[in-house]
Amino acid sequence: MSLSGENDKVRRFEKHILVYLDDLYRVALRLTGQATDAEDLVQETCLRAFKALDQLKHLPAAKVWVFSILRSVFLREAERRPSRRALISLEDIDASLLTRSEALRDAYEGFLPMRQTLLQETREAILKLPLPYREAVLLAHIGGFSYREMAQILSVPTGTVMSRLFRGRRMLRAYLGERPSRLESAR
Amino acid sequence: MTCNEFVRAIDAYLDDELSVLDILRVHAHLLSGEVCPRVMESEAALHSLLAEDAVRDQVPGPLRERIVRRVAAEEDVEALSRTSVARSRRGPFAALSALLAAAAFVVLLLLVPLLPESRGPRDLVPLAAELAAKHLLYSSGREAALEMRTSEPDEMSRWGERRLGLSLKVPRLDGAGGRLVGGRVSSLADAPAVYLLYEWGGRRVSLFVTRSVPDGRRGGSERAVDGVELTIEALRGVALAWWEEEDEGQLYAAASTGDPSGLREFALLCMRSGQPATPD
Repeated sequence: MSLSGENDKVRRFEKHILVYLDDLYRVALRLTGQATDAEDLVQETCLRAFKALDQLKHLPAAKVWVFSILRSVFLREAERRPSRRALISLEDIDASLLTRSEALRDAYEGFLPMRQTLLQETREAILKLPLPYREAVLLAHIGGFSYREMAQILSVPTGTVMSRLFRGRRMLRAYLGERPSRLESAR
Repeated sequence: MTCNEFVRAIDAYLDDELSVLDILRVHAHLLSGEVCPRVMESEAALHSLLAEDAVRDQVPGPLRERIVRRVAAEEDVEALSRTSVARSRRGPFAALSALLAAAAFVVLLLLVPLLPESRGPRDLVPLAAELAAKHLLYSSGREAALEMRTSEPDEMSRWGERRLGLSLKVPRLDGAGGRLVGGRVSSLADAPAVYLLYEWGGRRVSLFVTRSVPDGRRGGSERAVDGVELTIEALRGVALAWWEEEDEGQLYAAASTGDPSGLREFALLCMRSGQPATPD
């Protein structure tokens, strides 16, 4: 048995995958909403990544790769556990998307300075987002991924990533209760 | 740049996705009006809030260790599989043995999720399946995958303590027709463990010693033996037995192919001989 070979793989795993543990956990926490579920999700993700590590040929893509695994594990688990928060289908999303002009008009009405919002409210608002929007927001703000990388992870076109981000942020703003009247009272 | 174009570009601007030229256009537009700077300020505030929230949570300390231990254990299993294949080149019977062990391991892992629900898969799977699988791998072939070969329990005990920092009582079975073959570092239920291999009653018996596992005694049938709750289980032809030494806070887990009642006898011998100061 080659102990050096074993150590090498574990070392590669620590160097190229485990460095993203913080971000993986933070995204997992906001996907699942539960610390224990998040730990399970991250652990399973890491184990799968380790088993498939030899398939990772392009090391700079390690982050996108491991987040794709995280998403895959999460979706599989979500399907297996019907009691989990219901996921909406992509058809539902497409049907509900505002037209560009509607979105712009809405944006102007809603784009007002944010009041000081408690971070806890932000967390709760993120958890309320339907999964496709939550994924996009989390990947952007926690993972720090580019639109192109997010498109790879989510297996959607870049334009869809942008739409989901736009709509997700707009929904966050709505959840956070930002309205002109409240703004005026906060001033 | 018009105001509409500006609104469309805000997300990309804040997400650092715009070209230098477009960034300059956005900056120029911000100087040309009053509404758009407020829109930008508002959107930037949301981004800041999300960024602040993003770094709030710290990874629970034990999670990293748990992951490293699990991948190391996974690598143990993979390395053993590779070793079995390498050994198979030494002779037709060794090859057959290694292949059977590998096949049994795969079948075992595949069948574990199909166990009856009444048994409570979450209770049974972690310890019993891992124990059975590792027994098949470690004890297969003409030579077991041992890191330390000795028939002297005290020497084995000192080696294990040095390697894992675990206070280790290695059962002495010399007087009962048993013999220690050696051991290695392993893991069980996500905890570091010392693996011991015995020859007893004409067969190979695996014994893992690790720290107590909260769910370790669930599943299987328990019975009190010498004041200790002994759990007996059988999984795909592998007899399993485990018990806890509560004073030591340690879990002992044994596995062997064959009759569970035989393994019960082995466990009993271990419990009795595991006491310190057992004279030769």
